[in-house]
Formats: sequence, structure tokens, C-alpha cells
Amino acid sequence: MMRFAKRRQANLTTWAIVVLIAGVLFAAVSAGLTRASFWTGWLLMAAVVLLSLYSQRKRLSMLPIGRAAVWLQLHAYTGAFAIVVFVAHTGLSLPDAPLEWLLWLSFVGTAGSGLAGLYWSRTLPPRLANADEELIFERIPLFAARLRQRAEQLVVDAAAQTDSPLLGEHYRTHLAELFMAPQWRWRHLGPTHYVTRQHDRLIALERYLADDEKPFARELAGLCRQKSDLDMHFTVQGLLKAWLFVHVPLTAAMLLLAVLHLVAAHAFGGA
Amino acid sequence: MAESILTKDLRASGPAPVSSIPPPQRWSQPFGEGMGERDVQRVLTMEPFVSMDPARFRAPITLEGIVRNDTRLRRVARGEIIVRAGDYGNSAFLIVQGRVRVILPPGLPEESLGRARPKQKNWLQAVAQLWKNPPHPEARDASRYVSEPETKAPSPARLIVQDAQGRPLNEHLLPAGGDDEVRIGRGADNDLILDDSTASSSHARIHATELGWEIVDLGSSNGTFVGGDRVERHVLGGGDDIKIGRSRIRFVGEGDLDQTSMLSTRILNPETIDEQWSNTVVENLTHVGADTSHTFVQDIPAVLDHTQSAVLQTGTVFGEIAALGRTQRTATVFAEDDSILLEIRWQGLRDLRKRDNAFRKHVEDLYRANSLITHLRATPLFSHLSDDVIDEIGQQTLFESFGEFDWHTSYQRLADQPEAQRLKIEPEIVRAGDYPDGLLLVRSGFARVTRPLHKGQQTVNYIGRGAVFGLDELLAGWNGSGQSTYRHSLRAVGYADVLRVPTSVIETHVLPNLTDAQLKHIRRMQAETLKDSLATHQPRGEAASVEPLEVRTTGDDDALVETLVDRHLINGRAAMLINLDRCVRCDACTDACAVGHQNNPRFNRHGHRHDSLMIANACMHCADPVCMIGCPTGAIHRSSEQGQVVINDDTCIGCATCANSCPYDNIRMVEVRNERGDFVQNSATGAPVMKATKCDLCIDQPGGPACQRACPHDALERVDMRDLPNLLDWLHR
Repeated sequence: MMRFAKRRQANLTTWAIVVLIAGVLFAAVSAGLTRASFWTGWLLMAAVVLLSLYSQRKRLSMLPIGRAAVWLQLHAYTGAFAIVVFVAHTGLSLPDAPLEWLLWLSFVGTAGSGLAGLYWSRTLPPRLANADEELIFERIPLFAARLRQRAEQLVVDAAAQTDSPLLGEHYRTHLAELFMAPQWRWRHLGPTHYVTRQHDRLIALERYLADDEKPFARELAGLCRQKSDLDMHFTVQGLLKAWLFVHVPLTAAMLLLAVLHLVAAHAFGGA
Repeated sequence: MAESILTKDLRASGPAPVSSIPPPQRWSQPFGEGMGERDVQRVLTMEPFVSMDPARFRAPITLEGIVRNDTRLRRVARGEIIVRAGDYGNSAFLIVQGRVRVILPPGLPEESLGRARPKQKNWLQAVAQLWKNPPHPEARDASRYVSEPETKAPSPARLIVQDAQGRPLNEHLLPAGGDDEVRIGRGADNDLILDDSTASSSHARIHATELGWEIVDLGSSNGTFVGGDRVERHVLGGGDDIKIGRSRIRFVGEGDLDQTSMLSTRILNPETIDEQWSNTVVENLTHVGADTSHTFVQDIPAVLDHTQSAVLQTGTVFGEIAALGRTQRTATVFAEDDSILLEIRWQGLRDLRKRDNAFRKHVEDLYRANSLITHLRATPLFSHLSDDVIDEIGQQTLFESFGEFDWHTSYQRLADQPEAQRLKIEPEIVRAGDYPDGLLLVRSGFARVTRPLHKGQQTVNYIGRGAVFGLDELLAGWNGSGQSTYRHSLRAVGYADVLRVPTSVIETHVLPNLTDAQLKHIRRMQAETLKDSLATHQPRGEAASVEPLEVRTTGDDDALVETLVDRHLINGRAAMLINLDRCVRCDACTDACAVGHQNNPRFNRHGHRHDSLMIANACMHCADPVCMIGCPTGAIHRSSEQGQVVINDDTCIGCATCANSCPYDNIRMVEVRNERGDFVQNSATGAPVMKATKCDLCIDQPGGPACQRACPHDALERVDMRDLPNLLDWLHR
């Protein structure tokens, strides 16, 4: 079984060779009388079409046409190659017409979202793996509701059994919003695991509580931590899905604009 | 969503989907048709049934009921292969009449076994699932569960593929149900595949009509001929000769069976059987079982000349070890003459063994007589010995069982106990420090290898079928070169059947003649033999050891090995492992599974976690599938090809025995709907009809398990848990 590091090394080497060959061809074409942008445009178009095949492959999961993981590798390295060709095609200059502006923006958006997605796909899963529990995204609202019910029941029980309003007040003031629903917290994407402020507050509050209130506070602090984990899952899994809602529509738009650009270039560009 | 007028009209026009079916019972679907009262009474007068005490069988599972419902009479023609080496067995056979022959190792070449490929969808059918899958969860054609009146179905018949001389090459049954369709052609997706370049890939199909079986040409290039005439459609009659390309196929109807030379009903050994009854059996025998494809040994004299074989006489039972042990058949058996067999499905065998001590002893004696020598001969350590010495070793070998055959009940009971507590309960086969009184060969099940560590036991490895334990200790004792007591303890995980070859036998027959070169060779062979069943992890360049080595793992992996053994996950042959450090939770695996199973994913992306490894709730297709133990109808079974554990939806009665037996919670009970989306109800109780569902490894899809193919991040793999080095390699990629 080939190790990932070795596979990456092999893929990068292949990619570099392809880029080198393309660079030499580009230099040769540029030295001649033919407009190099014509060739780089077609190369870019071919790369974009190849890239778009990946999403079709994902739909045809029932066919033995190679593992999706292999296709993703091809997709990522072809995407990186397309960026190089794009730079060569545009010469790092900004477009000068509305259609080209849209095409330029859609390509940059697609490439940028793709790179971001790749980065998140490689860096965020270990964060999920470190959590105490594995949660299915679609069930997170259900788990959040359960946590809220448990927390509210705990506060009611605490008030009834200890005859003290302190935990109830604290819940209403500081915790009710936390338990209201799954919450997207950017802090969960940060470099350290984010533990809610509310949890720390409850720990700090414990010194002011009577002995019979402390077990309730500790359990409530545990629920805060669970809610924090749940919000982390909600944020991280949400981001791992959300970036595709940018990447895929932009790809479709880019394909359409590229075809229009191709027609315009051939009709009016003297290619 | 509001119902459209069009949809409403469509619903009103077609026949109403079935939404109520009678309550299914254990014997709602008897094993075979044709076990009439006379057959049952006659079988009960035969050994071993006549010696059984009916009083030991309590209602409703009576001895007579077992014979009536768990057995079927089966006629096999001369040359027909009854069981094939490598297939997974679900039934045993009693030879009622005739003569069958078992091929001894190395057996027949693979190409002559005619192994049937599981019927798979072609690419177009696979893609069509994207829009053909029903919109409702667990929707079925519920009419399948209701028996059709027999008068509507055409009589059963057979298609016999013949060579140029009219000798039978292959046979296919057109069952009495009449709801089947047989596709014929050169392509692999046909039911009857012709090895004939002049036949089209999809040449013709035969289907049931009210008039009988009709053959329809599917636009073939060279045409379909019946009785010499080219036909587009033709209702077949008994004895019709069909010509497709160069292939000749004989259509034999129910009443024509005695007209064919191949299927002539010659009664052998009339003194051993009531001839009148046997003739009646032959007349009535039309159904030959679920496996409707038959393969024949082509040249019996040549086979007998070129292979080692043994005759099995009337009254012999065979196939019981594989059926009861849920293991592969170890030898091929074929009919040397036209014969009649009583096929006993394993549910019946299980009950017979449970209730009748003599039958249980009979099975064990059969093992000793039939399988022990085969096992010893297949062990590299003994493979170079003569037959006489092997027989001598067989005589001296002790046959020991540890743990419970249905270990899942105690496993579930003790699941919440601390690991150390569970370890204490595991039966000890060998204790570290004991004098090595024998060489141990694991026959079936699993065993845990441990060594003492501080106040507990550390699991250093696990071994399974085919493993040998204790040779180095015996060698050390023989040479006087080292520690001669067992270095490790060995405990049965669940249950383990072990053969103990006494030390004196090894010292007398094996060690004196064992040269260093032979030992080295044996170690290498053993490593290959155990590759599929033994998890050994060895430093590069070091020869494999015959006894299990300690697993060279990192500290983290030591804990993993403990977990795998504690939770019996080592049982998995295709466990779904997910590397949570790579999984982006995109559910591509779940979606791919759903597409291949009518929009119903057959696993949960959830399950036991160890560090960043998840063993998902997907059927592991266990080496020892305990889910099959209690199934009353045999609905859950192993596929004969690769041993996948699959459920026959038609015969599942929804009793949930398999789901409750599965120690890993990998079988789900679902409420069935009809095509309209209404729940199907039990007509007697009004309760929803339940069916057991689980992963089938995409057995009917092209390309195998879609889940691992669909994972874009190399996060999911179906792994044989018995191959620990491979598992660790995958985990540390």
C-alpha cells in the first residue's frame, strides 16, 4: 500500500514535469508568430473540462471507473496546473471587458475556493476526530435540543431541590442563548480548541455555591462542554460542506463564461 | 408535496400494491417442495433418523417437522457436482440412493468446477438506478411475499446445454414458480452463459406465460432456432431442441424427464431402499434447490484416473462440517451415478445436533474420520510426511473445543464488563510457563495470544484457522537449546476448535526428520498459509515463524490490538474502517451505498471508535457469522462464491434473531413498504412487516463495494481484520 507521502512525491514530480513541458512549449510558441494565448486558452479550457468531470464521477459511484480518491488527486493536480496555465494565459494582467472580468473572477473564485477546500479537507478532520463524540451533521439540531432540555431540567431541579435561584439566574443570564440552537463559531476553526466562556464561568461560580448546588453546577458545566463540542462539529462540518456551495456553482458559471469567451475570442479576436 | 393529478390517475389505474401479507413463520417457506407424507415417513425409517428419539424434540420443532420442512429430496444426475471445494455450505447431504465420489486434495482444477458468478447488474442497469430507485424508503414489490396460485404458473422445466454428441455440459432449472426469466447469451450478465462466439451477447430469453415457457429472440445476429426453424417467439414443448449459434440446448418439461438419457432414473442398490417409494420420489422430484445452475464433471473416467478420490456409499452424510461451522467446503463431491440425496439445511442440522447426542457424536466422529487427515495434510509441518505417518498422527491427535459455539450470547452479556474481567472468562487453552504437552493447530475460531505483564495479561497477537502454536517450544525442548515451556498463553476468543498433537508424536514422527532447510521451508509455507487467517507482524527480512510472534507495533497500536480482540472485531473479513483524521464527513460513502440499494443506505457512518479509527456499523461479513446461528428459515446465508453474508429478502420472516445475535449491531430491522409507499402489514396481526437489512458488499453491483470506491479522501476501506499488518499499514499510510 503506497504511503501518502510517497504518493504526494510521485504526483508532485509528475506535475512538475508536465508544467515544465508546457512551459517549454509555451516559450516555443511565444517565440514564433502564433499567438500563445490561443494555445493556452484551449489548454485551459481542456483542463477546466477535465476538472468538471470529477463531480460527474462522484454521481456515478455505482460504476467501477476508478476510486474517487484517485479522481480527486487528478482533480487537485489538474487544478494546480490550470492555475499555472491561467497565469500564462492572462499574463497577470487584468481583463479589459465585462465578460472577461466575469470569467476572470469566476476562475479566481473557483481556484481560491478549491484551494481553501483542499486545505480545510486536510486540516479540519483531525479536529473532529479529537472530539469526544462523533456526530452526524444532520442530527446536530436534535442533539442540541436534547442538551437544551437536559440543561433546563437540571436548572429546574436545582431550584426545586436546593431552594436557591442562583443557578437559574445564571442560566437565564449567561447560558440560555448558548443552549438555544447549534451555533456557528469561527473560533472553532482557530488553532486551539475553543472551550466556552460559559463553562469557565460555571467553574468559577462553584466557589460561591452551597454544597448541594455544586453537583448541579458541575453537570451543567459538563453540558456546556458538550454543547461546545456540538457547536464545533456544527461549525467544522458545516464549513467542510459549505465551501462546495461556492466552488461548484462558480465552476458551472466559469464553464459557461469560458464557452462564451471562446466564441468571442474566435469571432472577434482574430485567432 | 401536493399530489399531482397525473400521479393520482396513475395510481388509480394499476393493480393495487399488496399491503397486507399473512404472518411469516419458521416453516412458512419449507426447504423444498415435494416432501410428501410418504417421503417424510420413509426418511424417518432411515439412519440416522430412525435411531433418534422423537421425544427429545419438543413442539413445535419436532423431528418430523424438521424432516418435512428442513430437508428436501434431490436427484443428481451422473457427473453432477454436488458441492464444490471453496463454496460456502449451508446444508449437508445424506445419500439415499446411488453412489457419489469425493475428490481428495489437490482436487479438480478451478476451471472445471463451473463456479457460478453472482448475478450482477450491467453498467446500464447500474446507472439506471439513479432514476429508477423508488422514492419511498424500504419500498418493495410486496406481491413477491404472497404465493401465487400454482395453476397459473407453468410447469417446471430444465434447459440442458449439450455438446455436439448430445452429452450434457450444463443445466439450468426453470422453477415451478414461473416468475423467473432466464436470459441466454454470451455476455457475463446472462443467467445461462454460452461459451460460443457465434451467439450474441444477449441472445434470447425464456419467460413464463399462461401457455407455458416461451422463448423470445432478443434481436440476435445469428437467430434462434427451435426444432430447426428460426423463431422470434415460440412456446416451448417438452423435448424441443433449441439452437443458438453453435450451441444446442434441450428443453425438458416436467413430464419429459425420463426421456433424456442424462436424467434417466436408474435405481441402484434396490435392496437398500423401498423401490416403489424411490420410484415415486423420482417421479415427484422436480425441484432441485435454490441453486438452479448445475455443473457436470465432463469425463468421469479421466477424472478418476487423474485425481485421488473416495467413494461415499448410501447412508453416508457429508457436508455437515461446512454447514455447521459456517465455513468453506473443503472438497468437491460429484455423483458417480444417478443418485438421490436428502439435503438437510443447516437449521435442521443444528436442531438435530442439539437434540440428539448420538447425532452430535456422529458428526464429531465424521470429522475425525473425514476432515482431520485433510487438515493435517494441509499443515505445512506435516505435508512432507507419508500417508501412514499422517494416519498415525491422526489417531493420536486430540480434538478439543473451547468456549461456546454460539458465543455471541455471552459476549453480549459481558459487553459492559471490564476487559480484565472478560479476559478471565475466556477459556484458557494453554498457560504460559506450562510444559508443552503438544503442538496446537487451530481448526476454527480465534485465539488470543497473551503474555504476563505486571498484574495482567497483554495481548500480543491473535490467531485463527490454520495457525500453529508451540512449535518453537517443542523444538527448544527437543534440542535442549532454550526455554521448553510455553512462552505465551493462548485463550479462546468466543470459541476455538483446536487439534492437539501430543509432544511424543511430534518428537517421534516429525522432529527427528526435520532438517534446518525443511524447517525454513515450512516457516515460509506457514507464513503463506496463514496470510489469510493469521495476523503476524514481523520485521523485514526475518523468516516467518510457525508459532505466532509478538506483534511489533507502536505503543498506540498495542491498545488497538487489545480493542480488536476484546470486541471480537478480529472476526471481520470486510470491516468498514474509517480514518477519522481524513474523513471530511461528506457522506459520499453513504450516498453511494444508497444508490445501489434502492435509496436505502445499508450501513451507519457511526460505530466503535479507537483513537482516530472508526469501525463503522456495517456488516463485516465475519469469518464466523454468528448472526446465521438462529435464523429459522436460512434467509441469512453465505453466498457460495466469495462467502459474503447476505439476506434473502423473500424468505426473511422479520424475526430479528440475526439482528439480536449480531454482536456488532450491524443488522437493522426495517418496516417494509409497497411501491406506493404504504406500510405492508401482517394480515393476521395488523403489525408492520419487518425485514432484516444489512450491507451486502454490493454483491449485485459491478465493481464491488461502492462505499470505499466513493470515498474521495482515502478515508474508508473494507479491511480483513485477520490481516493485522495490512490493517496497520493502511492506518499508518
